[in-house]
Amino acid sequence: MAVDILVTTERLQEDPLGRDLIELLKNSESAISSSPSALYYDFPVYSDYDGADHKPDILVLSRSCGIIAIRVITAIQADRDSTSSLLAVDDSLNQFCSLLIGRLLKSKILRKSRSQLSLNVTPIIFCDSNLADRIFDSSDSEIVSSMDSLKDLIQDLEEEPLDSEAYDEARSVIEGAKALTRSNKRLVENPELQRAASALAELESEIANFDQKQRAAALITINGPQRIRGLAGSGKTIILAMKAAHLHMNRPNDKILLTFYTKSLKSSIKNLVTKFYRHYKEVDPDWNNIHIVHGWGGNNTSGAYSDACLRAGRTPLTFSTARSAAPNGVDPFEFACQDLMQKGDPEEYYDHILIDEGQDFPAAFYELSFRLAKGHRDKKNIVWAYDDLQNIMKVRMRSAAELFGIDHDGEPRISLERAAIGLPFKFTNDTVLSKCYRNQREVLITAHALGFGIYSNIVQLLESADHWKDVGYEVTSPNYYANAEVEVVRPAENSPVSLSGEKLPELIEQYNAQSMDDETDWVIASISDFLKQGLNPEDIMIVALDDRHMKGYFKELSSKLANLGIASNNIHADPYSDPPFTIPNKVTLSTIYRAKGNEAAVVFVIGVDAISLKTRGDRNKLFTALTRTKAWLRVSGMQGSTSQIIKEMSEAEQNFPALRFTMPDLSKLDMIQRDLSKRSIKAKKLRAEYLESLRREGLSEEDADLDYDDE
Amino acid sequence: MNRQNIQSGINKSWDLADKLGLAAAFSNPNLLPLNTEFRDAILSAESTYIDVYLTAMNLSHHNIILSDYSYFQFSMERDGYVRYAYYPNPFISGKESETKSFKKITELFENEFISHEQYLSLLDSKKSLNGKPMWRYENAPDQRKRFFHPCSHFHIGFHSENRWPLKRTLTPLAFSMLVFKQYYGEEWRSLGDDDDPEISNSFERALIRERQNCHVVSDDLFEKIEEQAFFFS
Repeated sequence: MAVDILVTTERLQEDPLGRDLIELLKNSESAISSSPSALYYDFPVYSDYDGADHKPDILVLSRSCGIIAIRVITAIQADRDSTSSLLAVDDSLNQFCSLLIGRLLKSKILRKSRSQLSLNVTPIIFCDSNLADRIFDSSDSEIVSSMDSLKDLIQDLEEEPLDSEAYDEARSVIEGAKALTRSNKRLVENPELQRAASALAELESEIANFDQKQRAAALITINGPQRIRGLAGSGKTIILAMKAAHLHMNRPNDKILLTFYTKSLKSSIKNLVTKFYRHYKEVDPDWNNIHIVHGWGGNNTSGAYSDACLRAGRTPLTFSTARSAAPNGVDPFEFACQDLMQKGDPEEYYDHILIDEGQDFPAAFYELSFRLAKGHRDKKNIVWAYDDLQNIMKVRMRSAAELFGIDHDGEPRISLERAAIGLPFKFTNDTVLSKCYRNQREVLITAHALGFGIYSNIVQLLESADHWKDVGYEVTSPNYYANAEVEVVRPAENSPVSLSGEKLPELIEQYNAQSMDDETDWVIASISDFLKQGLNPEDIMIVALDDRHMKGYFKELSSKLANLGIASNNIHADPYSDPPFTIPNKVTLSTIYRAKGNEAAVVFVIGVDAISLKTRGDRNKLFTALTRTKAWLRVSGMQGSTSQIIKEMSEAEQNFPALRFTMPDLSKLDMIQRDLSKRSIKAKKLRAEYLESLRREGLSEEDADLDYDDE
Repeated sequence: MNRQNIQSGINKSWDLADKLGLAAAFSNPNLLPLNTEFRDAILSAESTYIDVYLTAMNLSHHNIILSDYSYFQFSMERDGYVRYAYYPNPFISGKESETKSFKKITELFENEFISHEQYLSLLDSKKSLNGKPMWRYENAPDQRKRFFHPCSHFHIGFHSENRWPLKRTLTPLAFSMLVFKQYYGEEWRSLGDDDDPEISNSFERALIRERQNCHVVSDDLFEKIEEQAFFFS
């Protein structure tokens, strides 16, 4: 059984004794190496009431020995340092253990009695000096001075192994994932009748734990740039929040920027960081040093760009000024960032920059981040989370060189390969998260089938088998080139979240309606069923894909819900503030734009007839909408594309868990799409009509000369 | 007036808003429960009208949203104490040009010429002060003080210490009809005007009928002597 080792800092390079100990714990035949175990180096840090930090050098959690926390003191240190400072190390270790025990005791699963844990926590001072016993004479810790005696001690510590639930729970507490636990547990009054609610409660009560890649990405501090790729629902935001909290804890004076694209994400990201931070410290983060801000910022709200302007003594451009000043076809935000870099001199300011939703930012924002980050180019701590399938299926991801641009010497400003040279301990600066924790496997595969157009005309596709692997699939057929018959399969372990229970509502259902009235009736009847099954109104989200009829849909739906006495939270109806996405006892009505980044147990995707299945842009929207659901998915539309969408969904179901298709010629695909997308015929026509109507109202063309922001 | 009456009045107000082409969303068919966050915003001395408007918007603490992002609240905080409020959108001054510009931006968004984030940014950069005053109605028998705190009264505008006495208790529908008539006169006229020889507007006739449902305040809560001063009849 392999010991799961997590070295969180580069300090181990200067700690040969620590390295030896890790080798021993990993390799020797012992209770630790023979049962599931996790070993952490330089982690975690807890602070006491006085604000002093305490951490072990090595912490081991194992099913058979409980937890051991080790501080390493070399013989040289023992000779050199005063007894009092050595005893302080011991003191700190014991303080750490008390704090850890306090945290573990909060969990019912880990308690044997009111004040007793079901696992032992053993502090160990490992000091290879002959004087160790004398120096630590009165210590409460186990004093160990050789590898052999450590082995003996571990043997003595062996006891009845922890069950796997308790082990997972302890791990969740140590790593901080425990902070993600829902604060209000779902109450199910009658599990027999309310089967849906009961299945959902079970899904939500699973112990939150990081997987191996998430853990490494969140907890290892790498000096230099780092990229985190993954699908929606793979935990990128959580990782960045954890990283921010963890950095702030270890380096409280460093300036940290955590920035994102969708305004409405602010409060949830801030909450996450606070939760993680408070898991280790008794106080809130110092918001002077950790800035959680929107990429741009608004009139009165701060943003990464607008704050940089202010520091450079310049007035930030607002969206409308940037829009009118930007040359045709240039993204206003791209323009604003370039403008600042040309006219002002943004100073290096941040020690760490963390960028969420990296796929949505223009290149100039990356360049600005590069300028704002302190240090030499290969040591700039910029972490960007990027969903190469989100915006949505931009099949080709922009490389670091494309994002950050080229430096004065003709070299890329940021190169992950270059920065990776010299990273110790197999640290990686390019993490791919291939597991998806948000969607049921059936839903995700269906969404991918529809997003790519697998069962009709493929509009986009991943370039290689490796890329499929990154996204959590395996190409099981031998060839992946034009005209080959291809099969890709999503293994269950890459979609670990799964509903279970008998007589549950169907996971996926569709409806092709005759009219809006008919469609909204179907939605309302279905909502009614879910509520009878014990779900709450806020578990339900309706996403309208038909922008033109959105108002009509939401008016009718809110009215029909009101007839049943149900209130709704109409996200679309509030253009001014960033309303909370879910409000207790209200059904959420949202546009696809606002739904991005959010989720619900039941998602109704309505108005799918408005989707043009030939274009990437529209298939992407469909993909985003379908992947908002944690459990059940309902899809409806009024004629049009609806029947084709239903047909593709049933084919996806028949082929589950595989996607099967004839490989198209990718270069041709791109050509067709270039023709179709940006200046699609539909858009052109619409635009012409629209400009005409503006003219009739006496408005200038310039007023409407806006980016058509499609793929 | 009991809860059921009010509830049905909320429904009727929605139907009328719909008829007038003003309805955007029926966010809550029930009487609004106490919301502490909203209460704190409204009671805070620092709050501006915009703060209060945005707080309720943010919390979805309203019953009916109109197409110009104004909204209604209907609540009954204790027995016999009712409160209806109309919150106009503070970012549209009511001037024709601004209403037009607002509609244009919204249309651009709805036709996908601009993204949602861009839409928000555009609105954000066009914030100016509203010309329509907010308007509230309260019936508070237990707080009544002769001449100074009428039982049934209007608050006009954001200022809360003005109380304009009424001799009747308003139904929710009567209140919303008054709002529509006074603030959305164009729709009221264009959809309601007809050839009736006496009262040539169907909504006006309906308002007159609704007045019958607004009971006269009892003599002990609105005394004869108070009639000598000004009041809404």
